[in-house]
Amino acid sequence: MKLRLKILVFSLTGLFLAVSEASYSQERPKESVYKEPITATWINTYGNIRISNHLFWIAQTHLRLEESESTPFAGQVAQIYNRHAINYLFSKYFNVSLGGVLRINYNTSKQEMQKNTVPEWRIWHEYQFAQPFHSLMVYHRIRVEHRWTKGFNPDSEFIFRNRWRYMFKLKMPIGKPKLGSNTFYVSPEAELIMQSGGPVVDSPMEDLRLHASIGYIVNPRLSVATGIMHSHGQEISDGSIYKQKWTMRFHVYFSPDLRKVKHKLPSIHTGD
Amino acid sequence: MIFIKKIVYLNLACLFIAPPALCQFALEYDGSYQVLDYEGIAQFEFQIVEGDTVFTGDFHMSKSDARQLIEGTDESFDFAGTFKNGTPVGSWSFNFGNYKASATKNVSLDNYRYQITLNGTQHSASGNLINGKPDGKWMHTIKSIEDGQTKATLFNSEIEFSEGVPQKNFQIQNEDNTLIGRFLRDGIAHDVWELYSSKDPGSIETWKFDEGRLVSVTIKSNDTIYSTNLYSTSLSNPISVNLDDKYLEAINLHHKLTAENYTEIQGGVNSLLKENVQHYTKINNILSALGNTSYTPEFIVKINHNPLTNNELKIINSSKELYTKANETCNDLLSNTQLSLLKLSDEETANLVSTIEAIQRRYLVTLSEIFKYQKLGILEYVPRSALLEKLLGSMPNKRLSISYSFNDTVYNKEYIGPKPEKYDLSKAGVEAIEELTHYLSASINSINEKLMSKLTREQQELELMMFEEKIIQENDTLHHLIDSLLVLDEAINAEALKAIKSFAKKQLSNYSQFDVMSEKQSLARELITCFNQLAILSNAIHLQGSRSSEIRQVYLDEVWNPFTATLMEEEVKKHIISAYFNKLLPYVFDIVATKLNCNNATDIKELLSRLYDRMLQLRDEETKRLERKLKKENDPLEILALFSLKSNLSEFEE
Repeated sequence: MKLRLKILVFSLTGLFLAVSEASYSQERPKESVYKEPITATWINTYGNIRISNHLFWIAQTHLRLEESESTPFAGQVAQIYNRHAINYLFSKYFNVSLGGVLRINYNTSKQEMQKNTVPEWRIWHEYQFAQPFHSLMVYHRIRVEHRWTKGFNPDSEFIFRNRWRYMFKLKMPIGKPKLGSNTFYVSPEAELIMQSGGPVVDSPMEDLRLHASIGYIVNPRLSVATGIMHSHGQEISDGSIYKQKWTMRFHVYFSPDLRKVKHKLPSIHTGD
Repeated sequence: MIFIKKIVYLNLACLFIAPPALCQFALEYDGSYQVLDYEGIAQFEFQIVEGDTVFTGDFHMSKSDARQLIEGTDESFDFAGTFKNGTPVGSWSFNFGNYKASATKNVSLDNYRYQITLNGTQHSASGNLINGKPDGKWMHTIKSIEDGQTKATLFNSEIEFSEGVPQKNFQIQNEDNTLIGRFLRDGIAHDVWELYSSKDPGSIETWKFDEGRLVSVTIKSNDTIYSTNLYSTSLSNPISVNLDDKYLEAINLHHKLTAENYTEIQGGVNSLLKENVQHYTKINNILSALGNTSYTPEFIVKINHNPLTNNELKIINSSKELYTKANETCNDLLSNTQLSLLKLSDEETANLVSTIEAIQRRYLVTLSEIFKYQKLGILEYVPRSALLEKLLGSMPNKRLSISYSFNDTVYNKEYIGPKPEKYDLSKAGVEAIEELTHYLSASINSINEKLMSKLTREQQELELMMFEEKIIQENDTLHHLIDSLLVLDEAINAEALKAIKSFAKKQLSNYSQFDVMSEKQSLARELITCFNQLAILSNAIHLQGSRSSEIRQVYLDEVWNPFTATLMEEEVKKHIISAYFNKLLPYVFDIVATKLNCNNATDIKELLSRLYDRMLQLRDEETKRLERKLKKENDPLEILALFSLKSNLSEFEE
């Protein structure tokens, strides 16, 4: 009985290997192909609105532009993002977020009979670790996104994928001992975005983003930054093809505090 | 630090629906609290309106401290009443106790509680307020307590008010006397006010008013009746004033200037009214510290008003200056030990020193009295045509009789000052004061010169040398101090310190060029004091460096930046910080650099200290309204006023 089962397993494995060898030996390219990089511009706002001692409402709106035939970087709208979440501040060193994204994807290739825009839905959660190191801050960010996307063809159905993102980032003050008001800083960051799910067959590396930016902290509640990012990753339809992108990024960070009622002691106005 | 412990209700609907300006949260406070010098436990309701604290609703504050009672004396108090939009209204009561534990008598221990009877006094006041003003009957009672029992009533006052105006009859009594009087409807004193003594069946003092005008005062003492007529005919220019100390001084002076035989009015009416005002003032201070009020018993009387003309004011001010200097010279001469020795061996010195004494006794004392009246603002209520003559008791005379003893012989001589024909002492009103002051000043200066030349040059120099040694010493100390501070200080302070150094140098060089021997000594004395004050100021300016950084630190708040995940320091109350660093400190340092003198050095140092203290206070206070005002204000003096501070420095500005 045992022997028969072993034979069956071996023969099935052999059959599978033979079939896959046969099919791959025909289509699998010898080396990957890197497409010419395209250029893009991101204009992002990041709001972290304090609603209690430990809770923030994250509200981000991103406008992403892409080159067109005639204009590099910003010839046409590519995506509009609306990302919201509730962020819980455990401590100075760790915080988590949970929320949703509605992204509008614009059709940038403009093929006939295709829709101009399609929505994309996501649920995301994020775990960020922050640690001071000498005068700089080091961040590790793990973000998991569950996304539902669809193509521009009228009959296109939503497909479901998971994204697994890890980002390493530094913020270094320039000319000051620590990050504070009226301070410039540089911030190099690297983020690897992997994906998985039914439609992902041979393209698990969705994107590797290398981003260097320079920012200015106006005050604890307002900062601005700009940077340049190079990214590349596999096409979902063909893992041997890598798309590349150069992106100019412009960011505004704001953090108003809605904790209004202050219980201050009454002072006596004798002179009034 | 006081914290609000509980929010009674928070009108959330208001937060979302109504405009924020209309939103007034009624908050309740329950905890330790301080009003003026009264520290205790308070429970009250309040609102924050446009950043200001406004009491509204019930207010209660009290203190009684068993530990203090055991250790000696406990000053207990209890205030209770109601506020409406910051104004005290309705029924209010105040109790002030001053108690000692009654040794061993009547101490009982029951059910884990000690009961101790008390000795001391209790002041209680109660009545109604309308718009912060007394209304209806107000009673103030002071009782002496012995072994927990009322022993005697030390004071009792019952006054009927209508919105702050005293009405009908009133009664004020202390242990010995009782005052009964009445008012017209508008609070004006009227008819006969009588004072009764417990020792005398009839009234012992009678003040007769006619619609506020004090017609006469009759005082009975040892069965003799003294009657004083004051304003027997109607007043030519009547003005309503409060019946207070100033009024009593004014009628006494008026009486002195108009009556043939003057007897001072200082009877029991006066002292009872004074005592009553003290108790009302005590309550008024507390209520004013909490809200809008006008809790003063306004006993209105009428008096003749005869304002000083500009010319009169000018004459009085210039005469006062001359008088002050002359009086100082007299004091210097009379306290000069060498002269005290010399007058034993030199007759002329004895004569001159006695002349100075006589001038002081005969004239300067009276002049000082006149200047005191002017300072109190009383001169404007009295006829001034014969002011000097009446206060001196006779016309001033250029000839002054001197009596002195030398070698056991008494000499009677006459003194006439230099150039007597220049002065006309027969002038009327304040001009007589001017003439007399000038004449006396010239006389004193001439005597001073004579006496100074009497002291041998060597003696003077010896004395001066001592002073000058001291000057050099003080100057060296000051310079060393400034040099050592200069190493430590930042630019703004360094400029000021250099200014002090150069000012001191200038003073020293002025002194060395001064060659009037007779005045050099007093100048030397002034210079020593001056250098001392400059050293104190230098230290204060040096201290400002650390005070400034402390204030910068105190006005920082830590704010969480979620994007960097760090706490960042942020300046708060920026308008206050900016007013302090950009307007007030430069203003003070500019005065040091350009207007420093020996008189204002202490004031500058004081202002820096008070500013520093105020900045520390403002950090914790609700200051939204102040910040709004500061936004538009550039004038440092106005800013000081907004900070509730006053600067005496403007007086020294040109």
